[in-house]
Amino acid sequence: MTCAEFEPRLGAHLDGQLAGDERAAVDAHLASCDACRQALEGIRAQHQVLEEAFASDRRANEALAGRVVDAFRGRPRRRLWFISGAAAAAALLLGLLLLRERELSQLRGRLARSEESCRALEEQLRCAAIGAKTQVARLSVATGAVESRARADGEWEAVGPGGGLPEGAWVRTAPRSKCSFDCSDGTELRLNGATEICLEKPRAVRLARGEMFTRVAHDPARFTVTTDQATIEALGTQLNIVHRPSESTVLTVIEGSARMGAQTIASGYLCKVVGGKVQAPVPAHQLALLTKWVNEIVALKGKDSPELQIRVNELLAQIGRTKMEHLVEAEIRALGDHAALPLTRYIQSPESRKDGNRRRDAARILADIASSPSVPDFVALVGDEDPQVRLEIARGLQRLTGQTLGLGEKDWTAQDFARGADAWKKWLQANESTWSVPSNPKK
Amino acid sequence: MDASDAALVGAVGDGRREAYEVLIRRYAGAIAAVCRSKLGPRGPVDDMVQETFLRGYRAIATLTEPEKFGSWLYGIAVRTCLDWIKDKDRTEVSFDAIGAGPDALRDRSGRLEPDDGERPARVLGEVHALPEIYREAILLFYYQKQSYLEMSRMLGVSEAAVNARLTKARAMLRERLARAVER
Repeated sequence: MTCAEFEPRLGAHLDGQLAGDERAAVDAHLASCDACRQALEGIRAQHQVLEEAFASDRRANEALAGRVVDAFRGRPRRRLWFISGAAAAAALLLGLLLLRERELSQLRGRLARSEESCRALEEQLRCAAIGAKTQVARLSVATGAVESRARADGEWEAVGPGGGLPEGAWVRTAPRSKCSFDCSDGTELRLNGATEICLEKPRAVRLARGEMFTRVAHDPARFTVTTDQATIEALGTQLNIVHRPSESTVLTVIEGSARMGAQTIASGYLCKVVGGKVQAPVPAHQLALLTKWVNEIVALKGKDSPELQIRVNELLAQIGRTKMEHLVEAEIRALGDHAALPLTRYIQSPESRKDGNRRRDAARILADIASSPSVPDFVALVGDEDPQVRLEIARGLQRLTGQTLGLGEKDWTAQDFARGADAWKKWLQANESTWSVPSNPKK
Repeated sequence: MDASDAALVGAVGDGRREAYEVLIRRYAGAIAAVCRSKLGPRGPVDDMVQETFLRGYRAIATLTEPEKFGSWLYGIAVRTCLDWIKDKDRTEVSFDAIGAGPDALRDRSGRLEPDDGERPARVLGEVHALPEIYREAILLFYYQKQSYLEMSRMLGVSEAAVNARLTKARAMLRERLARAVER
């Protein structure tokens, strides 16, 4: 046997999963092959890293089993999956398991209404506590801790989802937290980690440090972002601003234009201010990559978001056209299942038919990243007119369902590929109860 | 010797609830790994595991091949997670459900944070970025320490396929981590 044939057995050898004969054969080969010994050491080192990474989860498994047994014995469950941790819900949960589905559904409705009332009450109390100032922004999504204070010398307090902020409030994000605020004028402010801003007035933001992305709503009143280096006036809609206190401010205009000092910066350009001096604008390349930090926020806003579709399309457009294409593809893959619907829609769109290679790239990535709810979409796509797209989608179906329906590569590249597509449609009809979770892409 | 799955399922059928508790303890870790693979590190894994076992108990009379309890329960876990994904309004993210995802582990320029103390979190982030079957294989093996045979029974594939998935998953992880370090 050659090294290439031994290689797939090295992991199993390390995991102690080889039978006697096979184990002896691998041992004998290792004794005489430096390359395979080295490969085994690499796998062993990685194995240790993975063991360490999952150690706490393994320890937690026993406690988890205990909790499930408690729930099975009829003790109150820690928390039911469709209800958030609201303390007020606890009393309602007792005996829940005995209720029928109809009663459960009524209870969910009541609980949602009571949670809504609680939120409204909290909001009223918060407004009263801050002297009933006008609210200028509301936290819509966050990936981690966000804090605010009503005054520059006030105490920082955590802001929860939906939390409102008054005029003059300061906001900061933890080092790896990203968040998005909806302002009362319709503007959206997105903050990267380790960012601090002050909502000085409606349509006037001070960026003390960090990075922000604005989608400014059209309004006759001007919208400004001020740093200790410059004041930026948004004339268009989408800006990305990075600020290092006492050092520099970098403005990138994604859409529309902006004014900084005497300079007007058009979309696709970036402009730096260093030591208070505004430099000449320069073209900004790879805008989709430059602002990739907002992808996570856009994804949290829902798979159906038009902005997510635009971002995925822009990233797709870069594949094959840049030396950094592996980075671009990695960004799409990093969106995980959130990219599945945009990729599906792209493949289904009439525009995509003008660029077969990009369409095949989209199918290849989609086949790798989609999760089970995409199965009905895959069944619809497996009859595509492009053989390569059909092959990729069939590979995705095999990954998601574990089945090929006995169809191989030849069946998907043959003239009568429709037979395979029909077989999958029939399969889906027969297994509808398991797989029919349509994501409802635009046809 | 531990009772077989088939014997335990039979005992549950005879009304012995305690036999089901043995099955819960036997499979809770593996089902948690499956749910985590489907829902990601931020998903409500504990609740899905509870729901899976409750659904399993209610439906156990329909299990025609008791020796295949593991793969049958795996199917229920997948379905339970799909139901949750379908029901949940995914635009809403609760703060207590937020953990470190792959992207949260990158700095502004997209580099993975170099701090060695973060290594487990970084590795977990990359595991969750793997395609589903590879992520599932890694989670089942390292989260629950299942043997290839146990994994093959649960996933309904051969032991060779389990080996192939783990080998590929490890290779992909090595490549991703190496690429992240280069950046």
